[in-house]
Amino acid sequence: MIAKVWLIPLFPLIGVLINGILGAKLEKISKKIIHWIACPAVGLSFLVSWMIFRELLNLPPAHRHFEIVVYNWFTSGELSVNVAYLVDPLSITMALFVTGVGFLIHIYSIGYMIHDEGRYYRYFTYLNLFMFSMINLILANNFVLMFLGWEGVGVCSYLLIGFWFENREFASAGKKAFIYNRIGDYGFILGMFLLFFTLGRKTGIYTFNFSEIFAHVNFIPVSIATIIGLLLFLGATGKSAQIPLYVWLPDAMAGPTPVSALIHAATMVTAGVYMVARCAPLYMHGPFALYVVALVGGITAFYAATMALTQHDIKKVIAYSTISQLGYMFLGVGVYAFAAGVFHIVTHSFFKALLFLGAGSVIHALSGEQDMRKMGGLKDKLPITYWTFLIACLAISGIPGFSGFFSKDMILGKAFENGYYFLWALGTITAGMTSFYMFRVLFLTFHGECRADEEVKKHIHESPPSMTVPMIILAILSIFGGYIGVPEALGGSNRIWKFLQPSFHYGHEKVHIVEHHMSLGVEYLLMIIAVIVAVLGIYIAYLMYVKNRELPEKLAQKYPLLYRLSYNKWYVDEIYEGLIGRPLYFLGQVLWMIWDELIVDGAVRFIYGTVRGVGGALRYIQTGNLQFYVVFLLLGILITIFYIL
Amino acid sequence: MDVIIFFIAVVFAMGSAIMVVGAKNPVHSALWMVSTLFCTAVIYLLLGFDFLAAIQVIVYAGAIMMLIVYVIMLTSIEEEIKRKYKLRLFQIVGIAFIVIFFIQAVRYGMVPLHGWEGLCWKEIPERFGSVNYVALKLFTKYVFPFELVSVLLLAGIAGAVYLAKKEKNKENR
Amino acid sequence: MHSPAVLIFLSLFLFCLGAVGVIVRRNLIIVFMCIELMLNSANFMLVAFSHFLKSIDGMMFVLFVLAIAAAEAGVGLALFVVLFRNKGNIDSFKINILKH
Repeated sequence: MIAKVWLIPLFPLIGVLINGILGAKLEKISKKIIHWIACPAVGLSFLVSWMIFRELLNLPPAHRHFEIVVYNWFTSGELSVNVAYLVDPLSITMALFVTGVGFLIHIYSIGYMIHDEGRYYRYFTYLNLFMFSMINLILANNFVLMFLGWEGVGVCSYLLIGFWFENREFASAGKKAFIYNRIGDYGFILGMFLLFFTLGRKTGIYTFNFSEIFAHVNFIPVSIATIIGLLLFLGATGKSAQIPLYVWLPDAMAGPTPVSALIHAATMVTAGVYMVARCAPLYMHGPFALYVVALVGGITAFYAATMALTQHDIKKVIAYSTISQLGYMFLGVGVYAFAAGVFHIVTHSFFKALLFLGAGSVIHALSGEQDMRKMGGLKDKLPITYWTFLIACLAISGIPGFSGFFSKDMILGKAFENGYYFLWALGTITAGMTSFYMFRVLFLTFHGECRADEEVKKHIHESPPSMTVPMIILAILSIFGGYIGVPEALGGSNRIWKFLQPSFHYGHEKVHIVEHHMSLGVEYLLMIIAVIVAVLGIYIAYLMYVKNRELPEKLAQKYPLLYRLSYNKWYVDEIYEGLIGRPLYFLGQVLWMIWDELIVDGAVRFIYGTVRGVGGALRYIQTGNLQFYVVFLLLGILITIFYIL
Repeated sequence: MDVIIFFIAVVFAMGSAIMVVGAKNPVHSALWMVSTLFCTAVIYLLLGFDFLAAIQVIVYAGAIMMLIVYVIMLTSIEEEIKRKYKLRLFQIVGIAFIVIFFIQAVRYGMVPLHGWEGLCWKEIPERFGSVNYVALKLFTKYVFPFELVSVLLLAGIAGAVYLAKKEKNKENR
Repeated sequence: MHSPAVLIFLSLFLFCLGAVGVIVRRNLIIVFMCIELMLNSANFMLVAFSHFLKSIDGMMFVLFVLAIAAAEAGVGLALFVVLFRNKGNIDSFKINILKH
């Protein structure tokens, strides 16, 4: 089955083609056909991924590396770029949860989007197209195919965020997402080409393939490798919403909630982390870039959490939470714990998708209400939603026994172990904030009295099974998904770490960092600190939102500046607009006036004037007088005679 | 003897031609034209082409010029009196070019062949240019152009008749 | 005579005179006559060379040119008549419908 890895992207592609071309007509016949084409497509992809995974497990660790070439895309001189897929532990891990979670969300979407008339097929087409692009991204064995997927998910993100494009704000949110993505992609392309040229000049090898590049990464000077790493990371900040290019993610909540779950929780935003993990040999060769990655990740995690503390829109809180958790992932890969970052990707996909789906369920029940000030008391009316949401909150807070605990603990533990104490501290404080704001959401939404409007109250109902079943499955995964990475300290075998390690070393026997080892005591201490911080966060949230309801108000009045900064997202959007947006617009105006009006139009007017003038002058030859013409005739004859003879 | 006649004829031809171009009255102009043609016919005769000279006088000077006088009478009687002698610019330019041409042509065409040595008539072959000889040539070597010319003349007649026909049901004129 | 110099001179003279006449005169019939003059001058040169090269071909050509001139005169004059009918005058400066 490994040889048939190309089936994984093929199924969604077929889904796109059928639903895209025939969708409009199929929808008129029956909506069922559409989701019966789209969902099984992803399901089959998951099945194939699973089968390949099992085959891979049967092989010894050193042999788990296959590159399957499908066809030769283009060849130019020495460069040859193929459509080829790489099967190794890292890529298959990504493929598993991408297709798995994707499949669950496809099923959820059936219930969520069924009432949208005339657009059902469009939604599933875009969703399948997204899956196709994402799979290409993670399975690619060369930068070019990866970039294809990279751009593809960006496009699908735009299409899906602005899905209800009749609303101007939604359309503009889609544009914003795509533009910030594009800025990042600029960095990615520059990094890609710099890598290509440097490697080519130093070794004479012109290639975009990962294995060839990483085998020769030592030939690249360290400074250049650092720059490449930074440029590629710029692309990652755009795609994975880190500082400075994160501002599109909160606005991206304009799209349907399943879209937020899939793209902005589980898959697209993790593409950046995957890219850094995949290029581990390169980053290890240029350590400064890796340090920047970790730093940006840590700061973003903290920074996003501060903004999540005060938001009123339930989806926005979860969005900021995503940015924050992505910061954790970058922190993980940045401290040389690549497997830890990837582990967090996997667990995060489970509970974050669950959080979004739960929020979607709540919004669906409240007929579209997203403001938490108008929620409350839904615990009894939406039991399944409540319990799954609770499980997700516990997971993200890092409570022992749930998946989030293991992945977060691995990241923070490795950070401390490798000497990044400042980042460890930042991460731990952020963990406290995380548990606080997540439980704030839980308490505001589900506990207390229902503050919804009367009309809305009447229609509150639990979601249909197509929506609740995926949530339940994700809840189970949120609990048990962490057990693949139980550290040795607690008696586990840390399987995921060992599984993923071969992906990060390409024939480098020498490991670049000195592996520290913490004593068992320190490890236990760190775990306990983490748990205490998490529980503290929950307790404070409980105090503020269950026991003493006036506390938030009083705090806000006591520290108005902090509150405003947090609530208004630190005014970053406005800063960008003023610093960059306005000057560019102004520049555009100036250029229009000078270049377009004067020069381009002037050139056209000049030609017009010239033609007119010449025509006007030549007019006078047409006298209509016979003898006038005779003179010219004669002149011509005479000249002919005298010049020829 | 012949030389004297020759030169008189040449002078008369040149003078008549100048009068053709310069005469105010178109009828006068036509008559001077007849004179020019007649003088050329004389020179043809002196050169030994009797048949041609005869044809020239009958056809050219006789039929064609008569036709022209006819049409002058029909059309341009009123034009006699008013004659402004203003020359336009293009006309002056044209005249200049022609003068230049004339000078160049004389210099390159005539002067190399210059020779005023006596006219020698004795070298004219006996039957050269006589009617018999012409007729012989006309019906053997040049029979094809001969036939064609007759067709051409037919076409000319038909065309002229058609062109000048008055439209039916025309009140005025 | 031993050279055709005078004949050539006469021919050229008549030709140029005819050309000048074409340009200068306003009455179209006179313009036509000047054209005939030019034609005649060409005939003359043909005859001259026919005499000097002892070849009858030149003269034969002249015969045909004469016939053609006759046909042309016929048609041309018919045109003048029609023109006069339509315009009322035959002044070349006044016939300028083609003017810009």
